[in-house]
Amino acid sequence: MSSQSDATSLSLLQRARSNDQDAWDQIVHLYGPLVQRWCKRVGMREDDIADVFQESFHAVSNHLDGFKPAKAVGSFRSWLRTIVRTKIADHFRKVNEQPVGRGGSTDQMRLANVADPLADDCAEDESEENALVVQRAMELIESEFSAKNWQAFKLVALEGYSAVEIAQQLNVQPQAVRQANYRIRRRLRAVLQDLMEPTDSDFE
Amino acid sequence: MARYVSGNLAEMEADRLVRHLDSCNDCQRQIDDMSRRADSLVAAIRRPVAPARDSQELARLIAKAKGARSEENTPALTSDNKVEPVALDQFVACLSKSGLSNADEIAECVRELAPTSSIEFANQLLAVGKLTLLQARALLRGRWRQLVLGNYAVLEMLGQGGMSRVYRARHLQTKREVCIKLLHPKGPRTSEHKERFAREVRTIASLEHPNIVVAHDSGQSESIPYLVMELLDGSDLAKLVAAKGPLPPDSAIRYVLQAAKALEYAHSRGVIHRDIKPHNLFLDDTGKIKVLDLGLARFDSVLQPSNEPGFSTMTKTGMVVGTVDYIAPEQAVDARDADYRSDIYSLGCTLHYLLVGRTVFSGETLMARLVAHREEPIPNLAALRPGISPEIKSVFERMVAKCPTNRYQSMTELVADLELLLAGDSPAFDWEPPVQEIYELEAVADAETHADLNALTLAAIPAPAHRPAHRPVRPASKRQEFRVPKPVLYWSCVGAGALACVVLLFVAVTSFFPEIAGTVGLSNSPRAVIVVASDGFRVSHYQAVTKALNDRAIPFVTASTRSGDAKADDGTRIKVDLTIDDYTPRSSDGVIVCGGSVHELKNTDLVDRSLKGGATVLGVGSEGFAPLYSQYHLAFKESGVEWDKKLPGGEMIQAGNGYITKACDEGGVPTMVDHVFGELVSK
Repeated sequence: MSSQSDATSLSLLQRARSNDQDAWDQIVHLYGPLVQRWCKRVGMREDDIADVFQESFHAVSNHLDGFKPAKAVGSFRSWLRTIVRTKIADHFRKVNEQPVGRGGSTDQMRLANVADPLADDCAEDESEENALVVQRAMELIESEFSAKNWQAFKLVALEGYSAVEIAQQLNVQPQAVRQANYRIRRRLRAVLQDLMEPTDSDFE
Repeated sequence: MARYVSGNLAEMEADRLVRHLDSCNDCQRQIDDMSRRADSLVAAIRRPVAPARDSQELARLIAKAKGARSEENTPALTSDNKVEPVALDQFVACLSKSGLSNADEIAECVRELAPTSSIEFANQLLAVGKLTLLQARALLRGRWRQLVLGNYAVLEMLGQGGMSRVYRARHLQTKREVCIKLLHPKGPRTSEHKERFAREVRTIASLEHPNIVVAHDSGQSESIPYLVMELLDGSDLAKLVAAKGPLPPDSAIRYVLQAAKALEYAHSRGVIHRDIKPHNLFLDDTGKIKVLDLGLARFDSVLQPSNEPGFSTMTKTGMVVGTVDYIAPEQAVDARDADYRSDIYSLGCTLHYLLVGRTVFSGETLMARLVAHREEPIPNLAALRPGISPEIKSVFERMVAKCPTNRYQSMTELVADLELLLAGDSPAFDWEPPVQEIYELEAVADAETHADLNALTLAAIPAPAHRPAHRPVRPASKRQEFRVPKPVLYWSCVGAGALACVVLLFVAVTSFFPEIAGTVGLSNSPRAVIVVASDGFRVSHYQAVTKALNDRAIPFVTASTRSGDAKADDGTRIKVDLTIDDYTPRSSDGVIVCGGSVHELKNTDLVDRSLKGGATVLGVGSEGFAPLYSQYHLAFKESGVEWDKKLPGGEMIQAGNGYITKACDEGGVPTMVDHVFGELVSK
């Protein structure tokens, strides 16, 4: 039974590149919080964040055709970070050039202090960012599954209950719990292709 | 197994593994063990994420960025060889006439941008976001009409159907973005069509349900009607399934249930959708289903009156071929035979598509698929999609039974069973699928309605071996005069456009009074319901009314407080067709209350119910009628609403979902009947 067609085996990026608006929307939904977070980390104001945010996604959209994801996990995220970093730098440069800058000197100082505000993440940052994107992915797909399946999945994945325990609690067959877990994780991985290893070797 | 737990296993292998798990406790234990441990995905899920404090701001940013892609894709305009763009001054003139910008703004743009050609100017305006591609293209062709509809600037086309086009638009002042449906400029544009579209617009505007798309406004532009609706983010179910494949059964049922609830409500308001299909069920971003095209669909797919030869369900009325895949057998024969149960059938076909990813019947040609609805056995859902419970299969089969009488008889019944399915309970079926059910035309209420089948339909669907010999109440010549009623014209002056309007024509209600369907002629035509007291009604009123109705060949039934006979003030007895309590008002009804012993009727909620149901209530003889409607009159007085005094011989006003008249005397009956039933009956 195929509950996901070829569409999901193509990555979101491929689909967005072929002008699939849904895929683009999903990309923005998934990575928007990350972009916002990066902007905040360098201490930008809300108005400026809004500009950089839009400019960044404009740039992603413009250069999507040229972006060739490397085999490495997270290559899209790295690319996105590069773009955002550039846009942030552009922004501060513009502020600098303005004779009477909006907020002038503090912004200049910020730029000086944060030479590369988004230098490569440490591992801790990266896993936190992953969690952020995974959470967005869960929001994205939740409506595709029944409440019961979703609950079963969360009890397995979040709480670590066993299929048999959950089955009793939800009054379903244990296999239904396993299947819910499988389907939802599979779907999540499809959405999160960029962040997840293609095959998970944790148990092997 | 590890790949199954982590969600990495391909579906087919997973199916194999699941079969193995059925019989292997050891593997079950191993899998359960693994799934509790965290892989990289689960680790990310378990990691707490600080809730965003400014989620609204983020949502705003994201919504805007989503639009970036479509804007980025906007190609620069170039002069194409087919159409020579207009000159710059003409382009500016068109822009000014369009109402998209005011003269000052345009002058300023010209000054600042200093364009040398219309194309250059258009590209400049595109770049600064002053124009959209649609607007720029139209203006370059010298077209400026309908770039602004009412208070809305048309931004881009979202799609088009057979009869209409759908646009994204923005309110000029409030900047709210909406969706506008405009009658297809190339579609039929007789005054009848427009009038019917306008009436349907009012119908949808009167429907208010969480699962029905919200209508904000409506209007006419260049005498072409349009409908303003909420702009939804999401995807219709046809697109969703096309992109993601068949839905999980639970989701499919949930979506169908929401649609069924919407239709249950619409049906209670006398509105039949007639074009239910996955494309018309929209899943918004919050997981809510919105039924689209409600009311308009009736217009889109309805058979034209018989005096317009050549129109059929499938051809010029613009019904798209795709719809054929979801059409009920009786509706395929004659759209006017569609009733509430036809929507149930179409929803069943939709459920099939959601679960299986393709339509119930496939056939090379449109005809083959049409015939299949009538003749092919219902496919075995469980065989097409593993994991379909026998309960789902039963519900599906009952939805798509060939003969309406074998289906669920109402959306309410269906809603109840779908809710049981979702709760995981078995619906208490007292229903067995009929063995080799064969669809018979006779099963549909009135074979006379098929008299004007066009050649195309006849060719597609062989006529039944015999037809019931129903006597047409309406002489054939009268049928030719079947027209759109005129009262709408008067009434639109009375009521605000957005309020419900009496829909006199083409409300298909085949199921409506099964006991009389055979005798009142066109079951979906306007109908009069004469209401009399069971003892002591004025015979002169009754005679004036029946004469007026008979003269106009309007079918009628007589209702009273009791069944059996009703006695007039002179002792005459007449047969009562139904009791007032059994009467379910429809918007196609004219309810005519005769005077005499009306106190008997006071204890019924006849007037309330009729108006709620969208019917028009006409009283004959003020001494009897007044007490029944005085509350309405008082309410009108208080709210300062004026009676419509333009009607010669009577006055009418909007009340509830319908209309109510002031009482008329016997002499005024013919005039008021004409008002109530409109042009339909005028010579």
